[in-house]
Order: sequence, then C-alpha cells, then structure tokens
Amino acid sequence: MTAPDSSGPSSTAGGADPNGAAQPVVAALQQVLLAHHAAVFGYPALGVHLDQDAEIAHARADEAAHRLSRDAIIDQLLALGATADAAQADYAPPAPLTTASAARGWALELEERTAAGYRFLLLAGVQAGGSQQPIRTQAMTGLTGAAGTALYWRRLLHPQRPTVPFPGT
Amino acid sequence: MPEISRRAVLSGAVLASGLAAGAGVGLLRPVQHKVATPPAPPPAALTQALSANRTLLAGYDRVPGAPAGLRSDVVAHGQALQALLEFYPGWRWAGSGSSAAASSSSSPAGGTSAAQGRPAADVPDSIAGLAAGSTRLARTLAAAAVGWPADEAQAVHVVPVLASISASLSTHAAVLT
Repeated sequence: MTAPDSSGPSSTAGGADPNGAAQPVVAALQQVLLAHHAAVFGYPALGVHLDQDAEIAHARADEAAHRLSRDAIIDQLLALGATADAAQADYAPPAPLTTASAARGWALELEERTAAGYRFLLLAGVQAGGSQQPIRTQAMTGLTGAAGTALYWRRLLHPQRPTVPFPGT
Repeated sequence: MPEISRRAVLSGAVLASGLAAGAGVGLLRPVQHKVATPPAPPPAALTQALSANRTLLAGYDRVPGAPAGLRSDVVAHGQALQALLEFYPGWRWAGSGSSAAASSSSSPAGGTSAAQGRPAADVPDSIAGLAAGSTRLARTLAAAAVGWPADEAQAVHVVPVLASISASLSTHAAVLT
C-alpha cells in the first residue's frame, strides 16, 4: 500500500503568492481534496461488502492513507490562504453496492479519481509557472501512489489486464 | 540638327550619375541571401525517453511469456512520446537524415542525445530485466516531469504525459516483480 502523497503535502506548500500565481495550484489542490474526501467516505462504505480479509485490510489502509492526505491538503490550502472545500454529505458508487465486485469497482474508481486529481495538480504546477517544484513533486508522488493502489483493485477485477497506459487520464 | 538645351543636358547628367552611383553600390555591397536554418532540435529528454521505450518494447518481444497487456501499454507510451515529439519541428528535420539531432543544450532535462529514439543495445532479456527497465524509465520520466521548465513552449503538453507514463511504468514494475 502506498500513501497517495506520502511526501507530506503540508510540508511542500508553495506559500502564499501575492501575485496570484498560486491560484491554479489552489484550484487543483481543491480537486485533489475532493478526491480524498470521496475516498474517506467510500472505503468504509465499500469495505463492508468485501469478503476477503486481505482486501478488507487493504481497504482500511487505503482509507487511512486518504484520511492523512486529506488532512495534510486542508492544512496546505490554509497555508496558501484558501478555504478548503468541505466534503459532500454523500458519494454515490459507480454501480449499486451489492457485491464484493461492485465494492472493488468503487475502490478502483476512487483511486482513478485521485490519480486524475494529482495529474491535474501537476499541470497546474506547470501553468502557475515559476518555482513550483515542490507542488510538482507532490503531484508526481500522489499520481504514482494512486496508480499503484488502483493496480491492486484492478488486478482483482481484471487479472488479465491489470494496468493502464496513462493513469490519471 | 535639333538644339539641346542646357537644362536637358544637366538633367541627363544628374540621371546618369545617379544610375552610375546606384550600380556601383549594387555591385560593391555584399549580397545577403536568406539561408535556411534548421529548426531547433527536440529536447533530448524526449528522444531519450523514446529510445528507452523502444528498448523496453524490444525486450517484450524478446522475453518469452512477457505479459501482452504490459506490452500494449508500452506501445501506447511510444506512440504518445512520438506525438509529443511532433510538436517540435526539429524532430522531423532530424528524421530526414540531416546532421541535426537532439542536443543536450536544448534539453530541459539535460543529458546526451538519442536521435530518433532508436533502441539502445541493452535490450532486456528476462522478466527481471523488463522490471528493472520499467523502473529505470519510470524514475527518469518522473524526474523529467517534475523538472521540466514551466516556460518551455510545450510544457503543458509534455509534463502530464511524461507523468502518466511514469506512473504506468511503476505499476508495470510492480506486476513484473
């Protein structure tokens, strides 16, 4: 299990930018935050439908990692002078949550959404220009981590085709 | 015989001297032809990535039992890298057989050139070799995605693609290990 952003986003905040160059980064961080919010909601909900101990343990670890990342990104947004978007009251799974397979499918969707968020953050780091190396490092780490976690769930769902060529797209 | 006025003689003299001066300047002044300059070569980081991609692909064709799904990902990676290189006119120039090739001076990520992304000699010959090659290229591309200059003309196109390929190759290494 790999934490989506084990490098510690709060320690990599670029700092407040009076020129507004950080605005694309703030918007992208909000997207990443939304993905973590969804995962923190989704894993406990889907976990009760999993029937293998290893998968349940993995889901718990994934939830814990997303919770840590969520909190760190909230701190990072506050440090940038922004208000972190709140979680929604409810998140719908991509398919009715009636089987273990549907639960795995939701877990995969949560990780793919997280990967997409971090890929967007990487692009925002480029668009913001200047020195955004810490943000880009954070985004790259998050994208790789989410792709790795997605691999676990995709392997269970599609053993013959467990990888994708472009995670985050 | 018609009478020629002084005004006509003077006008003719002025005209003749002007023409002579113009011709003299035209003959003496160095001619500056427009010389076709080759377009800037693509960043070496991209041509090197394509070269490494082709080496990896050659490995998949060489290693018996190499997962076909991973191979198709690597094919897609190569196509994406080639599409990125098409953003750089110098890529086609280098491919036309001229001496122009990717140069480290224009490379955001530095390093030596690998014109046209030809596969290197060290083609993996085992599953472990494929895993090592995937890990190596994933790290290289991650570093390029993080360090690519934000003001480089194609940065918004290049960086996300390099990052996604890097993440994909990391999962390949996990599958192969």
